[in-house]
Amino acid sequence: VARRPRSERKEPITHQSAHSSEPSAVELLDRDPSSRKRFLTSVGGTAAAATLASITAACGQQDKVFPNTTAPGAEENNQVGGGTVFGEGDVGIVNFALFLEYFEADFYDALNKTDFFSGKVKDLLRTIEENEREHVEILQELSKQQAGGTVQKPETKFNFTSRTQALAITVAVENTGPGAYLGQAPRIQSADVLAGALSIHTIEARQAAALNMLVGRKASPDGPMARPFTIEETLKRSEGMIISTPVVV
Amino acid sequence: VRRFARSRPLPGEPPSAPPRLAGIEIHGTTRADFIMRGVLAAGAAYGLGAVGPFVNRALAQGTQYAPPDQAGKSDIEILNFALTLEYLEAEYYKRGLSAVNLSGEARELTKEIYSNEAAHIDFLIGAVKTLGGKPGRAPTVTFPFGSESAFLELAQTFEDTGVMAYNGAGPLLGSKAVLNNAGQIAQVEGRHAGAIRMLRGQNVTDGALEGTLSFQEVVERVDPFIVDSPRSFQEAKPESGL
Repeated sequence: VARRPRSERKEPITHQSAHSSEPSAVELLDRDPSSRKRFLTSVGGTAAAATLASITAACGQQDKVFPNTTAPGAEENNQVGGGTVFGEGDVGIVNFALFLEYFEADFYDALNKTDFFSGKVKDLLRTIEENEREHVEILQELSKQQAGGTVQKPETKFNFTSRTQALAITVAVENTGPGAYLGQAPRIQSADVLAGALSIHTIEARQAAALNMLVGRKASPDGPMARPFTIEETLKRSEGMIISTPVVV
Repeated sequence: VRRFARSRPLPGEPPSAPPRLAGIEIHGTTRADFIMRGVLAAGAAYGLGAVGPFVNRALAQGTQYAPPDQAGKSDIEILNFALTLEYLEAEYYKRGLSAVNLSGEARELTKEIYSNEAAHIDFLIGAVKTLGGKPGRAPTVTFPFGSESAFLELAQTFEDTGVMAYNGAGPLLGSKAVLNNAGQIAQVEGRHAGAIRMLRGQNVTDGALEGTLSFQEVVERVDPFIVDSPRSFQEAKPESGL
């Protein structure tokens, strides 16, 4: 029965933000503008608060992309090719994914520099970091091929204070990535960009579930049909950790 | 006595780990492999002109790839194919829950996965009907049950196969709404695969990019467990001429 030390497997999560069934810290903050501003100021200064506002404004039109996430034959997505702050059409989607992977690679780089983890958990976190770095390389290449400008690496900021806190944030971050790819997949026009996005999507899903197992969470917290995230939702979940606006050059 | 739909022999197959399946272990996907497998699959649907730069680059790297067999399948056919796979998976977990002596964590995960696969069946039946098609019937299946570790090993094979099947079919779907739904299911299959691998102490991923499988490759992997193939699977076999 004891195939692995229990201490490594059942770390309780104290952060509510890691449970999708409950509102995340960010979601709660979103409903309360004054506390949201306090939170952003505390973690990233006023620049972060301004950053979020501009990203949110720029991505606002993304909200309507998926009115229905479960019904078969849901109304056809007619926003394929729409523009965002990351660019028009497919290049915008690739740049958004690249922006996210830059953030994730930075996240695991910082996480793996802490001494909170050892053994199999550390191995897993290192493997994930390697995967994210490779995703960055692939997406850089894809973005260049699309010839519409490439998003620059964002500035990031992390504050890991304990093993439990760091693991809870990691679970929250990693469960966002698959939803971000899922949300964009039906908006992609080019076959090669779609094949690439689908191929990264399920790697992110595997990573998320493995981390969920570490903290005694369900492999698929949203049940049999995974939830797509809009660009706006994705960035909100990273707020305070991404502290610069997307710049496409 | 087990009976298979095809006369393909399975010599010396031990009850818990068929050798054909041992070979199914998913190997690391190189970038060149990914490019050829994913992109050529897409090219079958969109025309190779649509994927030119990637294909040329991958060819320059010397990757060999057999032509995919996917071309010409409708969304309904693809969803029915997925339905057969989901029937197989759900039945595996359902039977496993009573046939295998599972410990706490393995049992919890198996219950979660079973519940998700059962919901995928319902969903796909609804999706096929919504599109005006006739949902395929459940296949008759047979599994070797033994230890927990053998059960999880085969579960990993099914989940890895499922993920790569959905990823291979994704770019072939005509409807963006169906693509969204297939992606939702693919992500959950990926989560199952990651969780099972974590429980087994295996690498959670084989490289940074998921591989893809053609319909024919999927059938070859799961055929030993299907006693009578439904139409969606028979059509994917090479000798069918499809």
